[in-house]
Amino acid sequence: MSAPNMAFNRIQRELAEVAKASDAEKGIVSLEAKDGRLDHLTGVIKGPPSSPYEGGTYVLDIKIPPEYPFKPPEVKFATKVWHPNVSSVTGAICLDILRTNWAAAMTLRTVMISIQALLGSPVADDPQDAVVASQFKTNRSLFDSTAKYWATTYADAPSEVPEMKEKVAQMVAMGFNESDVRDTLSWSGWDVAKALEKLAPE
Amino acid sequence: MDDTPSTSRMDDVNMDQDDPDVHAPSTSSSAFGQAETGKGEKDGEKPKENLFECNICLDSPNDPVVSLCGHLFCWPCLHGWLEMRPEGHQTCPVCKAAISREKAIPLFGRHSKGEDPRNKAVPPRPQAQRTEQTRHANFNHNPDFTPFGFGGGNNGFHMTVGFGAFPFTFFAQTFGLLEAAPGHAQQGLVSKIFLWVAIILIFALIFIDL
Repeated sequence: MSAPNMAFNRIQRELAEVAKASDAEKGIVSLEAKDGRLDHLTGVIKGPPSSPYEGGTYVLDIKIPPEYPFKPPEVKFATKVWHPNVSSVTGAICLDILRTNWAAAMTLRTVMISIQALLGSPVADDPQDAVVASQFKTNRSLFDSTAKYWATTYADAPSEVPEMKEKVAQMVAMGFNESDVRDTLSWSGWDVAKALEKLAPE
Repeated sequence: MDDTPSTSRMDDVNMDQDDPDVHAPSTSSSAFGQAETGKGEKDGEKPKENLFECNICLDSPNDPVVSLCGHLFCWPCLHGWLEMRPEGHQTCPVCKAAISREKAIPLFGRHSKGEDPRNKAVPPRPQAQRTEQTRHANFNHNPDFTPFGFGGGNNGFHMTVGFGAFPFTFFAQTFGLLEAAPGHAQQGLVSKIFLWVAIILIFALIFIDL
């Protein structure tokens, strides 16, 4: 079983390299093996500056296939993100280097930097989440505040979006589950009537 | 086995230098600097290692090869990468330039051992390319004079025969005088085809005469 060995050796080198490098200012917070397993890692990146994600801390779930580095790592957001290229439901990321454009010389460090860059510059023409992407194209300001609201709620970003918080509180008071309310309101463009219709169809 | 096989080979050359890593390929000045700072870190860190790491396993390369775009890999690593890609769509893992098995050049350091990499589980790294000096194609013979059937020094066999020459070529072929160059199976096939054509023509001539 030489292939997994190679993957593990490389992951160990990459972990050491990330620990050694001063990437903190570039937005990589940490990269750690989950429960000491080298085929399942957790990466943490910062939301890029001057984006709705600024100040947020995003956790990435990284799975290493046995064929690594000949095959790309499987990376998804463990933190919920409102972004055209990230599924608002599963956290799956649409990024070419994680699929066809992967190259064996790329590392988890460069992948994390690329994902951070993707947060800063969404590509709406190649969407992962159609709802988010169409909002990004048609109503940029609503997109920005939704992304900011999600960053505040899920990624500990410091900024506040009071009007959205209010709408959520209003519907939670009606007896709905809070995270369902957030999702549904976001998907229906913060139209309370529409969201109510979806949550309680009668 | 010995962990540092190169040390014994180095002893007679570098009697006064106790660092076996001095033979790492580098400029004389940096090698000198390494010799000075390298004392006492024979086994541990090699200060220069990040310059010559395989771009795939990130380790010091084993059976090193370099791509035409200048990127260094272990041959087993690069081979593994090429295997994952369909032929014709193989790109350099670093810069995505077109790359292929034929375009990888093996590197042999001064003290690289004469071991045959083919003994390993991975296919051998590609052979080094030694292009022969170009020679003039018709150096040895006059291109204007092509004796029947024997013509074309470079191509081995030219079908420059007229009717009159048939019996001659026929016999020449039959007795192996026009044997195609060894290894040129295709030419052997071609001459067999011509042999049959010649036989048919001879019969045709005979019957026409009758």
